[in-house]
Amino acid sequence: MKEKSYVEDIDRSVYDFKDDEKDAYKLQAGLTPEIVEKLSKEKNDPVWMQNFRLQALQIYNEMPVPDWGPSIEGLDMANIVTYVRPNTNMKAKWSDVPEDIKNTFERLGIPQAERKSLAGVGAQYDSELVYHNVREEVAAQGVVYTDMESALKGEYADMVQKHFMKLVKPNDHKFAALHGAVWSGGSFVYVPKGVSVEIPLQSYFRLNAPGAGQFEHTLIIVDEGADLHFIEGCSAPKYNVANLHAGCVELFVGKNARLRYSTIENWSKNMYNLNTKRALVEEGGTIEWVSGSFGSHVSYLYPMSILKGKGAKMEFTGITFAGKGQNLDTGAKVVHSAPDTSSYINTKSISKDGGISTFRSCVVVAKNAKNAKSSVSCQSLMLDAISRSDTIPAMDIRTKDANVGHEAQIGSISDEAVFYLMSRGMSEEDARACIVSGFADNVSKELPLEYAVEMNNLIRLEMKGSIG
Amino acid sequence: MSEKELLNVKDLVVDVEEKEILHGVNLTIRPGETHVLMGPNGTGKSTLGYTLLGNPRYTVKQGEIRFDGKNITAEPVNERAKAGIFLSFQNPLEVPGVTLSSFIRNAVEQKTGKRIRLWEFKKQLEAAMELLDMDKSYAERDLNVGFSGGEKKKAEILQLLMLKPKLAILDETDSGLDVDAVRTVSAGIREYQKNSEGSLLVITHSTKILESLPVDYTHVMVEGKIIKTGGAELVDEINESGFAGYEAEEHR
Amino acid sequence: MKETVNIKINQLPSKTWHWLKLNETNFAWTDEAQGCTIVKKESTENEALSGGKETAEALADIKAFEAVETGAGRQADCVFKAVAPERITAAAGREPENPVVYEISGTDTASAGMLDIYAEENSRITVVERFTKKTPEDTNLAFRTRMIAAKNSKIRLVQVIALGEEQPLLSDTGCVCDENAQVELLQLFIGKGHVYNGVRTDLKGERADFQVQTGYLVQNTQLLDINYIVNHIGKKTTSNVTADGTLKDAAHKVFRGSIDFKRGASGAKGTESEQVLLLGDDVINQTIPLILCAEEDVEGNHGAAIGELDEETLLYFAARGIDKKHAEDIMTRAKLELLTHKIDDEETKEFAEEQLSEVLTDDSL
Repeated sequence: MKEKSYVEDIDRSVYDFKDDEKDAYKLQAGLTPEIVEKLSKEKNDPVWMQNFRLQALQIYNEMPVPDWGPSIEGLDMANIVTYVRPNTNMKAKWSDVPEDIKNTFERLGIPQAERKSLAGVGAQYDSELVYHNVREEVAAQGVVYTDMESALKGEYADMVQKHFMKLVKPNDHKFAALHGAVWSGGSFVYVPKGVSVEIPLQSYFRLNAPGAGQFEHTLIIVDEGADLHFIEGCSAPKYNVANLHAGCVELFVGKNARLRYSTIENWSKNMYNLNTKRALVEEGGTIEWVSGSFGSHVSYLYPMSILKGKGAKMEFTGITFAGKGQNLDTGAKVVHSAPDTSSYINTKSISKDGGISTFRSCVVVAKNAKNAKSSVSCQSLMLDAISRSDTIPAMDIRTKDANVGHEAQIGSISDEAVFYLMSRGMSEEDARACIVSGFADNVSKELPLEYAVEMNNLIRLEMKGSIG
Repeated sequence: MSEKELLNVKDLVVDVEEKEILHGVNLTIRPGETHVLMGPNGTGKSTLGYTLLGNPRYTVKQGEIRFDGKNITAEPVNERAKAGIFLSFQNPLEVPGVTLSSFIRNAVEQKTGKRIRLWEFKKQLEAAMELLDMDKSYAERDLNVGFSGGEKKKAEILQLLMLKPKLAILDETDSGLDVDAVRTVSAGIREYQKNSEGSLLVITHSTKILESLPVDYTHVMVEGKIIKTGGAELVDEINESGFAGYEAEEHR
Repeated sequence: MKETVNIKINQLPSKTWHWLKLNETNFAWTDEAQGCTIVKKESTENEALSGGKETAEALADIKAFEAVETGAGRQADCVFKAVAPERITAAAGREPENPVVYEISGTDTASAGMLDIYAEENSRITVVERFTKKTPEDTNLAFRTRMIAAKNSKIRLVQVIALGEEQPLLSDTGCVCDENAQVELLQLFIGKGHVYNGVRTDLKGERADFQVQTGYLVQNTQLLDINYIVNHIGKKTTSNVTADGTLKDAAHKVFRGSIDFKRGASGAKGTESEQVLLLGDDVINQTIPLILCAEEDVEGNHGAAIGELDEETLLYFAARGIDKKHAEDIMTRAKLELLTHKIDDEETKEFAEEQLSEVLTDDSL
């Protein structure tokens, strides 16, 4: 009989800590037009934004909760404090950031990453940006990297208005509407024509106050021929009250431009992560998604790419690791709406300790997308018999001049592989961890080194047994 | 042998996936001649074969291919096949649901543009299969499905005999075959030349198959160029000393 | 007045985005359906078969058949509510030599029929269902086949569906396999009408096995809506679904294929593969292959290739002088002939071949 190494819940002490709540301001729980108006006023929104929020709220109240995917019954919107603002203003230098907040980031290792010559850190503490630093050489190239609130009022206000929630409209789904009503914080990036940003821009978000929802908005515009790598990282302390994250990411990739958007999501395991991400790609442009989902209690996450221009490309590389108490529904969507477009989706998912992972995707090839090519490959690994792994990929092809391939596999770690590694002196636990790391290398290969290391550590932690 | 040129390749430069493989190849084959193209592995021999057939993966950057008096450089594969160029594949396609016999009949009808009488076709096919020592049951088996390596090679030569092209390019037809099979396949090739006055371009890096074929010209290809052309004696020379000398020459 | 009932059939076992319109299919049915025409053709040599028993045991069987779930789903029960099922039973340990053939056609109103196939322990039976265009135009036909394969038994079901234009068909099949039982299903869709096809199999017993081979040609404005659900319940159960076909003109095909490994189905293996050749300018191909898994020690695979003929195939055909159009015709025919050759009954095979020459407009061999 096969003996299994006992795999325990990840040691989250590294990530699960909280500061005393010293919130300068907190909105009352629940969601009404009054709250939204108050929020809008407090944020000094332009008039159009205030109206936008109220319209979105109305849509939110009219739309049903999805009847597919993981249950979100544990979520009670009436009791979620939607907006929390820390008692600090924007700081330009690390030394000016208040000590307790700084400690939090220090434990998360952000300054180290900074020192390793990352372009800038736009770290979001609760709902406001508290620390923001774009390297001078990047700014000198004309690259704009700022928080959304500033962008809404600054030099790029028109550009923001022109693009804000035009790609993800509030009526897309209930949580997009919610986002439209109460969004707060996030980043705005504009890369001008032909500019190639050599070092990745990085942004950390985290939730802090109990019951706080986070609704940050990320808007990135990469102009014609430009090139950018943006890294989004998330981590949040653990609380007993259900937490909601309904962020929104809108990416505009111009003609012949390229954008790589990487995320390692590691929310604490009580989080409802209902995030919406979407990219619009013009002629000859490329969007590359690298997505790791490790945290959260429930996740709905399917970055969507609309290949609008001739020859536009998308690549999606993802990994999802669902452990105890987690139900992670992740995947990708792509719409081919121009000739010669191509998409490539490669995902891995791992389920253990009663965790549920679902790969959900759709590939749509419109009638005019002649010579479109698409390839989807998803592999799932079951680490025990109490977990669950589902694969739900849809394809809708409406032109004969297409080439669409799909392959899916579900299986377990082969006893032979474990036996082989053990015959070379590895413990069973190490052998299994080693095989899982190897299984996940599609993603780790795509990540910057320090992130790949962090991800492998996460996998190791998840795989470690109770012995030793 | 006539003085008329069947194939004339002039200064051919070919890219595969944007990498230049052939760097200016010249080759002339007249009706009825047997040419051998030899050279080390990965030197561009198969690339030349595929380019002559018109495989779209191979891009002609420069030069011209004339066949039977016509510039075919831009012609699609099926038109070249109909004009009389045949290439034997190293790994021919398996097609469940299409029998070997119906596939060949289809090809013959496409070439001639008219229906052929079934009994006549059957008679010819069976004669050719007998020559190749193929069991008659193979005619009704699905094309290449479950065929061994040797059977696939024979099925290719069977098509050669039935299609009677003007130029047959045999790409490593002898590789992986045992002595008996090489002998049978050679007999098939001789039969083709005898009946159809066909020309041959034999691509090989060994010399097994050449023992029973009368060779007119031998070409040595190294790094995408034909660096030496000679008669049958060149085969023996290479048999003895290999390609090492030629490669050295190329690098001088 | 006849009432129209609107039901949802061919539902996915696990839902996804509604805008894809793949979660289920809407199906309209007139409430007053008559029995359809079923002509049974059986060789007299088949002694081992009985049409139905009048025993307590048989009554228990009826209950067992009522419990068989089908691919179209429970909402489709209303379609068959007034129908008395035909019954064929292969007696324990017997292996009738010849297939039992049913010719099924509609009447001049909406009509429905049912066939229950029972293979007792250690028996084997082959059943051929031929759906013909003797059905008058503009009428709906629905047919449900329920199978129970007892321990060590084998059922082979061949369905040739060749209804004419404007003759929609609901073909709804359900199957339960006990220990070591095997069910083979061959489905050939070569008609001119719309077809709604649901097949569900519950592999309950250890080592139960289910094999499906499907071929189709969908053209003009035809719809083919397929829902396969294979539930792996017993240990070491195996399944293999292969669907291969061609869409022309403005044909619309929906393929739902689900392999569901239930907890406890350790050692189970399920494979599904689909190849779709798209030849029409207005075709719609929707494919959703689910693998659901609640067991560690299983192997599930799915592969799909949708689109034009691949480059390798085209090159080989072209190298023999055969152009693209002709190669496509040959491949379309090949996919279908591969299956017609496997039809167990000569008369049905001839019927299928005749039908092929009617629906295939090419001039290949």
